[in-house]
Amino acid sequence: MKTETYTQKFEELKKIVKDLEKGDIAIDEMTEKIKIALSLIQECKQSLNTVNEDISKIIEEIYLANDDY
Amino acid sequence: MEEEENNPIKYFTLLETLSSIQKTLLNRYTSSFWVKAEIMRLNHYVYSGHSYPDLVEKVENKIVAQTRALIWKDDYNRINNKFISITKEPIKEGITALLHCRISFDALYGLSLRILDIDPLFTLGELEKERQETIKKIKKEGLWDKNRKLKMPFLPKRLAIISVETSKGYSDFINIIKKEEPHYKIFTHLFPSLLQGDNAVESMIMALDTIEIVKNHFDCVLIIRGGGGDIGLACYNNYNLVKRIADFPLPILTGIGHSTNETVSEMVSNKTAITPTDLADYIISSFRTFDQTLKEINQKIFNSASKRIERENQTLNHFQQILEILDPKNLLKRGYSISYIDNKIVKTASEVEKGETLITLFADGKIISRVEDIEKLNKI
Repeated sequence: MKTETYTQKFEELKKIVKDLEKGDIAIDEMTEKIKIALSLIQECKQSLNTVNEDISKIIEEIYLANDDY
Repeated sequence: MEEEENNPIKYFTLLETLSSIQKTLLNRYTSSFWVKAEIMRLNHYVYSGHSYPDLVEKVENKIVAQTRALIWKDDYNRINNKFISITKEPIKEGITALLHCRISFDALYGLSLRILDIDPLFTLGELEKERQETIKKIKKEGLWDKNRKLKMPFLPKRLAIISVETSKGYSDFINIIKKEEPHYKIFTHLFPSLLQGDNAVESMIMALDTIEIVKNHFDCVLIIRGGGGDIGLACYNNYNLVKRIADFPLPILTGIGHSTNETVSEMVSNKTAITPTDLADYIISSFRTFDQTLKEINQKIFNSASKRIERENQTLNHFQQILEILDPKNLLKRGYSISYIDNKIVKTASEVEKGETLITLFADGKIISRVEDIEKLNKI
C-alpha cells in the first residue's frame, strides 16, 4: 500500500465526492469510485484515531512528569 | 627653702584655683538648660555603663565648638529606653540632639556637660529630615525608579542574599526555599553583612560591591533581615546605601521585616516584602505561576487538537452521507431506475430519438427496450 499522508488522502476523497456530485460518471465507474471513497474515509478515520491517541499519551506523560509533588 | 620663704608672691594651689572656678561656675549656672549639639563620639562603656560623649558643633563641616559630656549609667539606660521607644533607634553617634544639661566642673576631670536627658522628638525630626533629604537627592539624580524599572527575570533561580547566617529571617527564608527543592531548583548564595545600626550601611555597600563583581551569576539580590524588631532601621534611609541600591545593575528585593514607616531603601528597591517569609513566598509563587501557565498551555494544546480531530471526523462523516446518497445502488433500491444510451446516462427526453435502444437499470437487474414514442413537456 502506498504511504499517503492524511492530507493527500483527504484531497483525493474530496475530488471523488466533487466528481460524483457533478454526475456524468458511468455507472460501473461510479460504483468503483464510491468504493474507493469509502475506504479512503475509513483510512482517514483510522489516522485521526491514531493521532488522537498519540496526543492523549503525550499530554498524560507531561502531566505525570509535573504532578510528582 | 630659703627662696620659698622669701618669695613675696601670693599664690593658690591648683586645687584651690579649680575649686574656686567650680564654685563660680556653680553659682553662675544654678539650673539645668537645653543644648543643641552633635554627638560625635558616644564613648559608652558597657562594663561601667557610663557614657562620655564628645559633643561638637559644626559650621560647614568644620568644628567650631567641642566639649566633653557625661551620662551616668542610670541616666543612660533611662534615656536610651525612651529614645528607642520613640525614635526606633538607640542613642548613636553622628546625630544632632537636643540635650538637657547641667554644667559640671571637677578639679580632676575638668569641665563637662552632664547630660540628664535627650529629647527623642527632636532627633526623630532629624531622622525624618535625613529620610526626606535622601528621597529628594535620589529623585534629583534621576535614580528613584532605576532599580524598580529593571525587569525581574521570569524565573528568579539564582539569588544573591545579603543577610546574617544566624538570623531568624534568613533561616525562615531558606527553609521555605529548601522545601521546594525537589521541584524547583533555586540556587542561593549568602553575602554576610550587618543589617542594622550605624555600621550596616558600609557593610551592606561592601556586600553589594562584591555581588556586582559576580553579577552575571545571579538573577537578583535579596536583602533579608528578620527577628531584629523595629530598632536600628534608620540606616536604610542613608543616602549612600539608598543610592547604591537604586543604581544597582540587578533587581534588589527587600524583606527587612518591620511595621513602621517604609524606609527609602525599600522605596527604591525593585520589590518589597514585609517579611522574609513573604519574600520567599513571592519567589516560589513566580515558579508556581509559571508551572500553572505551562499546564494551561498543555490543556489548550490538547483541547484544540481534539477539536480539530472532531471537525475532521465530522467532515468525513458528511462525505460518507453524500456518498450513500449518491450511490446509484441506493437510488435503485428506493424504486428509481437509470437509463443509458451507449453507456451514457439519459438525463432529458430531448436527447433521445425514436428507435434508440435504452438500457434501464433496476436494483435487481436491467431491461433493454426500444424507444417507441417521445412526449415532451412544453416547458419545464
